[in-house]
Amino acid sequence: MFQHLADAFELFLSIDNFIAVFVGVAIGTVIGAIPGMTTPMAVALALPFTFTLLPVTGILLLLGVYKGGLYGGSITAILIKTPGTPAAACTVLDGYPMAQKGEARRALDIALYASVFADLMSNLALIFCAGFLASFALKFGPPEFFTLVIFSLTIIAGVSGDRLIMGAVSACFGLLLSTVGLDLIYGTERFIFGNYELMSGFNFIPVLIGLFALPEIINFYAKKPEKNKSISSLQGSPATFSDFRQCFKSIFRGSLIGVVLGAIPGIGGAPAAFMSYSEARRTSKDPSKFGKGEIEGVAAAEAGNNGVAGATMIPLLALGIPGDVITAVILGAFMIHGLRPGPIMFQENIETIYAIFIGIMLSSVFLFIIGKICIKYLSRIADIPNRLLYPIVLVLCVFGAYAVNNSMFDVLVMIIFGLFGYAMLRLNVPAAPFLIAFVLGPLLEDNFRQSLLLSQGDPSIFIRSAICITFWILTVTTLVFLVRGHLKTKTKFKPDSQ
Amino acid sequence: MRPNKYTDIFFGGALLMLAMLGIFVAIPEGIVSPSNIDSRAVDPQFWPKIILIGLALAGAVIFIQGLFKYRIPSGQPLPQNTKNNQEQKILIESEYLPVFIATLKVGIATVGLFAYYFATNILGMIIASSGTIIFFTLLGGEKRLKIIFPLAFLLPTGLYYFFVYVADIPIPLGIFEALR
Repeated sequence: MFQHLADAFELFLSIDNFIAVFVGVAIGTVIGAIPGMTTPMAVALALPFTFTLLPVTGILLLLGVYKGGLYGGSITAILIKTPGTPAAACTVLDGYPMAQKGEARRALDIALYASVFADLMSNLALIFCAGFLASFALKFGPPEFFTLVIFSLTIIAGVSGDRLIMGAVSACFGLLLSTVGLDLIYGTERFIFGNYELMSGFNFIPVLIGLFALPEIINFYAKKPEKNKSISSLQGSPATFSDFRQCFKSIFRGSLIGVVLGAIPGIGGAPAAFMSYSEARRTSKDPSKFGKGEIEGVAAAEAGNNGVAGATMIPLLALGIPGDVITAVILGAFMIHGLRPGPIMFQENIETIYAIFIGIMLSSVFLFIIGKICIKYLSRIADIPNRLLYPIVLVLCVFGAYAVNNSMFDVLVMIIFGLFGYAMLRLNVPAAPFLIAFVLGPLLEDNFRQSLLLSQGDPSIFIRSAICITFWILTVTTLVFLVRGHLKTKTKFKPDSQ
Repeated sequence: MRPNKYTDIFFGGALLMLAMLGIFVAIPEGIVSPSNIDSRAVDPQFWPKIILIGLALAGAVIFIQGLFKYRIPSGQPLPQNTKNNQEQKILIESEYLPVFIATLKVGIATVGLFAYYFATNILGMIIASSGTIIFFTLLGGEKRLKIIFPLAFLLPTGLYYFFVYVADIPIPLGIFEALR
């Protein structure tokens, strides 16, 4: 253990890693603060720049972008009522009224303190839980992994928007396109149709950039010209220690909510922020203040939102299962650097994992420093018009997609997936289930077929162990809850229900 | 796009047809199965078939939902929740340009994307990227040439130098390859 820790420190203590974490957090905060730019987009665009870095350095840069992005979203949520990220939508509720009352600085400060505290809690949860979960996952064989992936897909489809069926369609497309290439067992061709460049399947990064960056760019041209944004100036006094003490209970509770929801694949920051906010409101002495500029509302929303950041890494590092789109991108980064997250990585590359843990803790410190020093400048970022921003992003997309394999074919794949993603956007089909299914597809199929090869075609292998049965029960329970919730919503919307 | 029952009917029907085409045409034509397979479940065709059946079922559900959706007789007031939903959709719609102009601009942007791809093959990534920045900023309504031109020059050049000299990734220069 101590030897591994010493090795991890040796691996981590390089100026490159410090710079990577700092730059990552700074880029994430800047991009998170730009309305229309999402954190997955930021991570996807940063990914090609990590190819030549060492694995730990590259992954820390991406984690920095992730964490910075979560916080950055709150800046424009407070100042211009436009959440930079979906997870910051809840921060608008009290953040913007505070800015209107002349307390923008106080709101931004408490958002930063809550974010940093929740981030630290989340990192500690990751450090203490991931190893335990990974040691348990060592008992998993192909049938257990198959049922685990099925369970993960069920949850992801369930939180894929207001129409469950659209999430299922999106996941089906993701699974289908993940089968393109050479067959995993027999090595025969699948959907290649003579194009040798498809033999190794669609590359993950062009698909990712195509689905998450291009549709927003194309969609921009279907919209009316941007109006000038009215930005509240950074007026008012900063938050004090007594403000932090007043909000501490909500921050602590919100962090815990974020950690728990973040550790479950597919939930993400937005539900955690809203749950934390509603708990703070429910337990408040004066709930009527919420929504009118209550500082505790901002703190609770930000704590819930940022509490998920480290926790979403728990299923990724311990089981190799991405919990959301960003961790799916980070999984791709691990694979590009020749690492495969999961229980085996805890045995073979434990020093890499510990080095990542050290870097993650450092990212919270950098988040605080960047947030505190740069807040004045970050608040002006929202001024950049999208008509200038999106062409820049487009060029970054093309360079990034090309750099994966030095292949113009990947650029073409990115453009085609971009148009596909735009069609999905217009038809209200969510893109997140597509990407997660695309990443999990090979794992699902591989474990399914390996299980059947082991059992010589007997499907009862999938219900032989207690772990498999537990995952089946969880899957069925989740599906029942999802369908019931869906039907309840439908009934509420029926005309005669009023 | 304002959703109506026809959107779901067409989308569901299209999915259903796509899945059928996949099962009966794309899988037999596009997947090679070895002859010596013991179990059907490990056949390379098995998994894509299962997924396409899932897609067909989802398409059928959307198609049927489309048939039974929005059956509120005209003249009857909408219930509050539906009304809020409709208002929300109208609000989102108001962000968009009129359908014809939006389609035209999206069409031009799409042509621009493919032009960027083909221009990169011929002119190289720097020139093509510069042209693309100018084209897309103008399409987006930016008029300040003193911002557009420096941006169009500095960004692709900066990225070129990063990828070539820092990341050691050769960026295509097209017909200017000899200048490398």
